[in-house]
Amino acid sequence: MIKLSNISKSFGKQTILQDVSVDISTNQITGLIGPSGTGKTTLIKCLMGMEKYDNGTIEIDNVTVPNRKLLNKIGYMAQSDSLYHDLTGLENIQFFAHMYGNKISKQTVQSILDLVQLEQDKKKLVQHYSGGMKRRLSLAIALINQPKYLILDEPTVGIDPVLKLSIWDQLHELKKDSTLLITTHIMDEAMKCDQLLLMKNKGIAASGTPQEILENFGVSDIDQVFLKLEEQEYENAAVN
Amino acid sequence: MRMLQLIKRICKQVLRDKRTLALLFLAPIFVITLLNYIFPDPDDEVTIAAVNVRDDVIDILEDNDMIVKQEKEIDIKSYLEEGNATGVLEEKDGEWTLTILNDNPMDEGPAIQGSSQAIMETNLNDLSDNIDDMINNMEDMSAGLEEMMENINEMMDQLPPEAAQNLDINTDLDVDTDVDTEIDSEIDMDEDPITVEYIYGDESYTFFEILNPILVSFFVFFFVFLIAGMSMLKERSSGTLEKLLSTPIKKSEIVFGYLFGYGIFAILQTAIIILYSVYILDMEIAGSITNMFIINILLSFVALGLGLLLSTFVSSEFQMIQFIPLVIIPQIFFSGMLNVDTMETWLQWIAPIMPLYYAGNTMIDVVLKGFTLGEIMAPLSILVLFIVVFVTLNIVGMRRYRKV
Ligand SMILES: Nc1ncnc2c1ncn2[C@@H]1O[C@H](COP(=O)(O)OP(=O)(O)OP(=O)(O)O)[C@@H](O)[C@H]1O
Ligand SMILES: [Mg+2]
Repeated sequence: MIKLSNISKSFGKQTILQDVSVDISTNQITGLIGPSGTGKTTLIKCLMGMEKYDNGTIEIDNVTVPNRKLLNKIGYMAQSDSLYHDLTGLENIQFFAHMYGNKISKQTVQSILDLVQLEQDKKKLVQHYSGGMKRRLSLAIALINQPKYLILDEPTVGIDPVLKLSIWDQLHELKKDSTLLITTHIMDEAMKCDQLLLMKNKGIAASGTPQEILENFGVSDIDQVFLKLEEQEYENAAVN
Repeated sequence: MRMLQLIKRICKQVLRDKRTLALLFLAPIFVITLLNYIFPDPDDEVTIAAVNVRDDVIDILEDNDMIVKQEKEIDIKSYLEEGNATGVLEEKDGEWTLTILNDNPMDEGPAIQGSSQAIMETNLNDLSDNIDDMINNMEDMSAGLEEMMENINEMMDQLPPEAAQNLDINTDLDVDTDVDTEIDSEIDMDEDPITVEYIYGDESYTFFEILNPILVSFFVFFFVFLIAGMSMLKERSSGTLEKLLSTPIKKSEIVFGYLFGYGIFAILQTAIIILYSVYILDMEIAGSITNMFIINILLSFVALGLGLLLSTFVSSEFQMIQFIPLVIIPQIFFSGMLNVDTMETWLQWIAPIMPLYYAGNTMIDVVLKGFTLGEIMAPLSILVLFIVVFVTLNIVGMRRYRKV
């Protein structure tokens, strides 16, 4: 259970998050969407304990973030690839697996390699990987500790449509045991989420299942929701 | 456990990076070897051209192991430019002139020293000859005086007594005929005008012999600093440090993992530099080689800590390089090459914050003066203190990436 209550965060004078409260439903895929620079990554980093939040509390399984032991339960994939380029794909996976302190079976490694279709290239140095391959490897590493919470910052950027579909199928498989939080800019991916959090203006502007959100705004796709939000803002400004 | 894996990973990365390996192991050996041969051997002979110089001066020059070429009528400038001699010594109307090109103090220093020494010796010889002459003259003079007195006395005896009284010559005039002729004219001019006693070692150290122990420490410090800093920078800029901190690893595990991972290579490098200097380049060591190891291994950990720490303040390799003139170069001046005690007061205050000040001076103490472990305990503890401080700061600095 991830619970954010009244979170505020600013960098210097720039306020990024203001009074954000949200619960992230367990065993569901929650999509965090919103324009570039609204603070999705910032929110995720606060959740991981990598950024200090100024106000409020974040609790994961009733433990207040930041807490180092909590990280055992979390698989994290950063927005930018964070890989050792002078190690092979397999060595990267093995190294991070050891960081979780448990001996992972060859089987687990194999199934993860199969999932991201890197079996053939596992012995290649990462510096010779393509952009999509690096993304897939990062995803594999996030899955390595079979985490209860999986936090993925734009996981499918640079991955081809066919592989993307199979990854999404896998993500839906994973939600049996895990809670997933995913950011994305791709609207048909957003539609595949169970829950959506729309970020705008330093907070969550709308939330619910994709269907609920579309109905509430009376539109046919998510992009239009943001246009509507924009219009509302104009109207509010005009009224004031 | 996690730390061991981190160390394993670092070893794998370094071993794969042939360039870093070369920088760690070959570069210091290359530079030390170069320096060993660059500094002139003090036993090398210096050639002096002598124009109108007396034979006795030439004899002294040759006695002092200098090669003397006797020349007449040369164009000094071109003669020196062509490399025929290091200096030209001339005598004109009792004035001595030594002409040098003044472009190579290493060789010209001995030439100037040797020539002035030779001239000083001849002058002393001349002086003592003069003194001998003077003494002879004086002896002659006093003999003459004595003779005169006797003549006068004889004359007085022959005069009538009244006349003698009127003259009232004091015939008791006490002429000291015993002019002290005991001046030791046998001053032994064959001996050196000055005898140098060496407290440490038994002959004059070459500059390289003093420099070498310092250089060993300097290389350990410099290369370890650079490599630790660069790799930590890479870890930060590639995002892997952040990724690493998203796992439950402790911040101290990361810092110690780095310290020991690169520490292995630092120790290997230290060993190679020391063994190479001692056994291949024949660096003479008065103290024990174990103490040299202890100093430099501690120093390498200081360098690791400092490199890791400073890498957190930079965002590119170039900025890391910018630290070299700021952090590394000034330390050379305080590392024992120059005497800190005679520096300006404010410089004397700066010296104690520099790790190389302790390492370099302690290396000199061990290598040249043969200090024992007990005698170098104080600087060693300060190096340990540096390590503790840097490690702590590094762990605290990791808070930037994770708050716990
Ligand atoms: N360390 C930081 N210091 C100062 N400002 C920051 C820092 N990190 C992020 N910001 C600012 O916070 C805002 C939100 O950044 P964030 O990365 O969270 O956006 P995002 O929603 O993830 O965007 P994108 O979809 O493009 O990834 C941006 O304006 C960014 O400039
Ligand atoms: Mg982002």
